[in-house]
Amino acid sequence: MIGTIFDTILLDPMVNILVVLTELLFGSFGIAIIAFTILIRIATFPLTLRQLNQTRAMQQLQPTIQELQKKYSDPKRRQQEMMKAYREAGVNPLGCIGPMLLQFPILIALFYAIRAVLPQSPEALEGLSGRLYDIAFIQHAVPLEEYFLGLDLRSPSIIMVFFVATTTWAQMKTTVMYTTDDRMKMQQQLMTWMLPVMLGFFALSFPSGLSLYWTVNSVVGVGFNIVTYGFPALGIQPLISVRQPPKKPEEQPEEGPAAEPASTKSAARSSSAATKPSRTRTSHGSRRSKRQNRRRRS
Amino acid sequence: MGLTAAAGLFLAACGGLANPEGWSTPSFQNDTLYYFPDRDTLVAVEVDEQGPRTAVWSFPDTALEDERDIDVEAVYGDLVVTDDAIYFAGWEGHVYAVEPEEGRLLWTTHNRISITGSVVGGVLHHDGRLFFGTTEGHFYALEAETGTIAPGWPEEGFTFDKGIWATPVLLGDRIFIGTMTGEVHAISPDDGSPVWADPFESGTGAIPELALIDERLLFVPTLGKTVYLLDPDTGQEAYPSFLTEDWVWTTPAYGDDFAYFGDFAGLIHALDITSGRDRWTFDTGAKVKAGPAIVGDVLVVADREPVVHFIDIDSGERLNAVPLQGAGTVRANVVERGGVAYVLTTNGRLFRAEPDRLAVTEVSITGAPN
Repeated sequence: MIGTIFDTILLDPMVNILVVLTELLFGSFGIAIIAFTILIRIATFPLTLRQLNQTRAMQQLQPTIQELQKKYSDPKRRQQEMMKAYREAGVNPLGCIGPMLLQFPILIALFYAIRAVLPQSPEALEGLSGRLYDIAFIQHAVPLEEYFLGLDLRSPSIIMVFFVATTTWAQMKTTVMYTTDDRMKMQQQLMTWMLPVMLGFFALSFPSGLSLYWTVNSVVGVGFNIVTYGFPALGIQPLISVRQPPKKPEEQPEEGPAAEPASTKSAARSSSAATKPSRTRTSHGSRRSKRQNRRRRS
Repeated sequence: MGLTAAAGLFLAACGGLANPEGWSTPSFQNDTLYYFPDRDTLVAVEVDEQGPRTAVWSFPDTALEDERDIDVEAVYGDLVVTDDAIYFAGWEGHVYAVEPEEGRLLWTTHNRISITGSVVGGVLHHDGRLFFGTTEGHFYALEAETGTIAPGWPEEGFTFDKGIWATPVLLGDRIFIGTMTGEVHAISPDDGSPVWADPFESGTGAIPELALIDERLLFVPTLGKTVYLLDPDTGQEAYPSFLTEDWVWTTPAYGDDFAYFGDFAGLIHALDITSGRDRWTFDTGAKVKAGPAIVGDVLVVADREPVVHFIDIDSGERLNAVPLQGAGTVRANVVERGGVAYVLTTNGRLFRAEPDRLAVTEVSITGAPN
């Protein structure tokens, strides 16, 4: 049942779009994969941006959360205070999961679509018949050209393994992580290397068409990261400002928050938060209390 | 990034490439049945009055030094069985010649000839030569005795656009080649020179199979839901093209001016080759890849479900339908011998379909690898 819904709503449309794109883009399945990947990334960009917003806001709340965890031993009370902190910062703890859940089926469907469209065996081509729409333009197009720039898109390729690993590393490297926890920092540094190695290893058994998708996906991801985080090493400022959670006056950074690197200021923020218990309620603005309003009026 | 990582891990867990399985048709020769009970092993089975009984040899035998390195990936084309050798080509792009009595390797192109692409169609044996095409569009001719490139034939074969998946077909002094671009070429077996002024262009998709009907018509099915009947002399359509409900990827059974074949929509067509029109259609309810067999007045069809259908050849009425429980599916053509149709399933089980009793029974073979 779930498989049928997945096929009808996601997989089959993707298969047909890939075939149509191939026909429109000079009969090259490689160019079709690139175009389709970019289209998908653009279409899901609002979700990606929302996820970036939420993830980053969550990360920046970590000092406060750690403080609350230390402060309250009663799990119920601790949970209440944490939820309160999230609410006041305008962060939904599940907010970064929603977009992820929405993107995940798209990625999985694309994976299977590429495998379905590339005839890796006669049985695979036979199976493709059930996925194609009854449109002559599409029906007449198969089987698609399997080669792109001399690369057999059906088979694994060492060159594509290299590209998968390096572009994944680049995407990891351009993702700015805000954390104050040394252990998390170490984990992130480890992942920056481990993930490219792992994906490179997986790419050894993937069809090159899928590796091409992965590479383009990562390159576009690097582009998005630079657009949202900037690239301080090259003096590139972010073009899109990621929404920040509200901060106490003494914690406001001097420069734009999106350009701020993860290292020193966030650590300082962490130590500051550890020594001075933070007030989770704002003292001015729309969320001030009635008492504060009265004082203000008087 | 976490999303990418999770997706990567998930995909890797689900990953792996689709493995080719093969769908070579079982072949009877004298008192022996040759068939592939699995994708990489050829078996010879003695046939007595009761049918196939005991496996007498299998190929390759990894205990033998000559055959230790042989890795047949899957075989799709029909076997060519002669008195001297059994010839077949594998998906891995190698051709094999096996001695029919003992099942031992005579020669293989492995490590001797560089063949570009995989082989889906079978080999064509003609005048001491073997002809076959590859998925990369190369068309080769080998010396049947030695497995070397035939004299006068280019080492890399003649090249056609896209791939050649159909088994080449011979009529007189010409070989017909179907391509996945939707073209049919006629060439000379001597030097590969074109025979027709221009190739036939279907314009409706790839041509995965090719068959000769009654030595007077070329049966050209396409993945564009169209079947063409060509005049082999001119390469022109003998009748207007015939539209089907879905892809046709099979060879037909022929009898009394009718060609019987199935399509992927599950319809069986009785095509009158004197008019190019349907006499009747029968809906099996499931995709049909395997070519049917005619046994007397009954057409035996196996669909992908798999269900064996007994159909009255004159009226197109179903006489009986027998499901094959837990037998995988059927892609290999149904083959007739001695008033019985044999059906090979993808998990290597062989069934006898008896039109007299309208019944199907499994053939028990001792000594087979499966």
